[in-house]
Amino acid sequence: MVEVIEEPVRVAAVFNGRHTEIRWLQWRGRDYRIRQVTDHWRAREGRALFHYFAVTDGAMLFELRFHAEQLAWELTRTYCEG
Amino acid sequence: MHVDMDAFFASVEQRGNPWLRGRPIAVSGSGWRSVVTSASYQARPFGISAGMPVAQAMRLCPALIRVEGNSDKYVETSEQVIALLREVTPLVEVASIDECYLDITGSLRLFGGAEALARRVKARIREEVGLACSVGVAPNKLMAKLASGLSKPDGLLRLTAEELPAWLEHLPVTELCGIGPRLGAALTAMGVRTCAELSRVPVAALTARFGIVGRHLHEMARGVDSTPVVPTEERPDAKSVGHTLTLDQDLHDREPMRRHLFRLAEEVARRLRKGRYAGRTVTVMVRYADFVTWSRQTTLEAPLDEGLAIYDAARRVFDGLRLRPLGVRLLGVTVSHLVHARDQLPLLPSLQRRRASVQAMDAVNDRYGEFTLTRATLLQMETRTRPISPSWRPLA
Ligand SMILES: [Mg+2]
Repeated sequence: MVEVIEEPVRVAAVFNGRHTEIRWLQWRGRDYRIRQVTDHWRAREGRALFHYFAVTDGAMLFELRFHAEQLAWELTRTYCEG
Repeated sequence: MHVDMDAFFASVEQRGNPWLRGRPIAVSGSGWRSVVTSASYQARPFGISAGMPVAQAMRLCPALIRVEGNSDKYVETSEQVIALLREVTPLVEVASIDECYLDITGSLRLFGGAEALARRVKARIREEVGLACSVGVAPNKLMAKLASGLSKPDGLLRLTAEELPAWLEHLPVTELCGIGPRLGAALTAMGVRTCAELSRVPVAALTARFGIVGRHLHEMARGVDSTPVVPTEERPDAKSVGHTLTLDQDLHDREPMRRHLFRLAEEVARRLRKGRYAGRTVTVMVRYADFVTWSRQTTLEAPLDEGLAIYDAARRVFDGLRLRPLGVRLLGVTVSHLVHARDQLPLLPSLQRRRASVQAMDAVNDRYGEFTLTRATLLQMETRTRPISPSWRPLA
């Protein structure tokens, strides 16, 4: 099920040219080790540029939004089975 | 060569979410009243296809997973695909968000022939974008599109000029791009079902029945198509700018519909001004719950590029429509007969002021996203449902 979250999160990322690696994220006091970045796309809202990443720890899919100008991460949505 | 991404929106969603892979999914707009825009191949055996209301799709396949579409993802993926296609030729015509025509005549030597080139394109798209596509290679666009369609999914089919007659012999005419169900029915009424049968009807009989389309039909039946691949950058200027909005709930009252029209008019105006266009014809489209669609238009003396003026014209058209008792599920506003707007300021000071305020509004909207600052009428509206551009949906 998709859940809309839209909360700030702490994220450890390695920006490596075209491929961004996401190592872990901290959300609601829990750490999630990220195994895979499954998708990445960009979106413009007005003049602001956002990078979106879909990442998974193997149990859940997280949609993260990175505000390039403010260097801020947000967990926008989660998806899990059932 | 015709390249068609397989179940494009659904495949992008499955690529990004491991739990959706191998499952029946349907991409649609937000809200339960919306329509399936793309169904995964796992959903198709249930009879689910694009254009079907979501509720009906859920009845056909209760295990269907609904995914709300995200145009940013699809546009970005489409741009990646187009960039890969341009590696083999600059002659790439973008037909829709998930379909392109390529003129590969000049690239055959370099890539070792048509099939090698097509295989390379498929492999590149698979590696770089992670998606499957179907490729048709043929002497012209009409036949290339036929070939990609016949090879789906994840296929590659080459139709040579010598093979065409055999392929067309038993092919139903409705398989050809451009012959829809209506035209197909009209042809069936004439006793014509296959391309071969169509090609044997005298041109005079076809033109008597269908006008100039008749001659075209005759050529299509023989697999003839002389339209060139027009690289997308070289396309003539836009002919119209329009937006549609699928409503979360069917509406019966005019007042909320007017407010939606107002917002659509504002959005169309913004895009017109961005492209420095103005247009004289304003068209309003109304689609009812049963998908019957009406459009009416009005043509004005002077070209418009401001939301309020476009809304005024759209509202006059709309108020003149006698709405059917069925609810309305989709509204659209389009401005056509475009001219390039002159940059000179209008002479009247009051108009000048109004234009200055409109430009200021565009600037703020650019900075903070669409619909942040707009006229007070809109404040009553929920701003989460954004207009969906027509380019979103797969084109027929
Ligand atoms: Mg397609």
